[in-house]
Amino acid sequence: MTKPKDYIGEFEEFVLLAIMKLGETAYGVPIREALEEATGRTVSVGALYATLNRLEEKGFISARTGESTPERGGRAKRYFKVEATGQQVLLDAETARRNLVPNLRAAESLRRNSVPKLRFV
Amino acid sequence: MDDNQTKQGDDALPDSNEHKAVMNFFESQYQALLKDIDGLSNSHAASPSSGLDKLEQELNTTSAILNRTLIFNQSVREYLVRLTEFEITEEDSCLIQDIFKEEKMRLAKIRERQNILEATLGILEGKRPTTVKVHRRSNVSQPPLNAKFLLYLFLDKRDREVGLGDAIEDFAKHLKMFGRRRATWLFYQQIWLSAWPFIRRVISKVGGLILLSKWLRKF
Repeated sequence: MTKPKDYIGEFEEFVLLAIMKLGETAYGVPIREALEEATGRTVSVGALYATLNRLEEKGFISARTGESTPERGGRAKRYFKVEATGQQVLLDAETARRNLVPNLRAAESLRRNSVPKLRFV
Repeated sequence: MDDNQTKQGDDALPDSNEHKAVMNFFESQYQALLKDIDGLSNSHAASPSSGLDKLEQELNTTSAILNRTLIFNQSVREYLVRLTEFEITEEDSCLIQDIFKEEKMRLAKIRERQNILEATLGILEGKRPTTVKVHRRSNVSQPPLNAKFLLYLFLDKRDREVGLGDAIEDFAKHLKMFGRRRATWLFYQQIWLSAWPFIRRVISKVGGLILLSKWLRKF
């Protein structure tokens, strides 16, 4: 089980999942595209790198500098990889969510039952 | 070239077929060059009032013709050196000499034209905004310099190079898909979205300093 300080937010969780999905090719641009595709929201470079740095500081991901290409103006890429602790925190988040699902289902059924059924005569 | 001369040529040169092929090649190259140079001479040189784009276009054309002429001359010269070991026909010798005489004059004219164009372009470039200058010189499609600077400013120090690289890669992709104007607009959108983490960092730093000063005042 993760410690309280290892708690991750929704966006951080999405970033970790995107890195895991992309595998070896996980660097800024495809990560951002994957996030935008999954969430339907525009993700800024600044916000993404702030999150990636935070995750790296927590030890959930590791980074390595990659090759530079002409279309990047000769600037190098930074590839990311999810570490074992990162995978663990994702599993914990999933477990926590699964534990909460029955409550959600109960609330949903309660809501449905409380709605008065209209009868048309 | 009649049969006698061909025979004579064949006796004098062991690789006469190659020589004929080379001479034909030189002839065709020369004719093509002449056509281009004549086209250049007949057209009026672009003036500053023609606009930068036209001037740049003409300078590029002139430079290309000049390079081709220089390469052609070099090839002919090298071939001549090689031919000194053999006997060549009078006709070929005359042709080569003519080519050299005419080429020298034409080359001088092209150089003069290129110098004028370069000088005009230099004067006009002095009045040009810096960002446009950068676009012209860069091989890669780049976003505006001001936009790059803003993004550079908003990103954290350690992410500047990588983040800017990502944004430029995106820009190149958008440029192909939507054109320069829309790609630039999307790049600016990316900047304003990236501003929030920067503002938050500044606020937290300023807030921290205020709290520290309040705490220090207590003592």
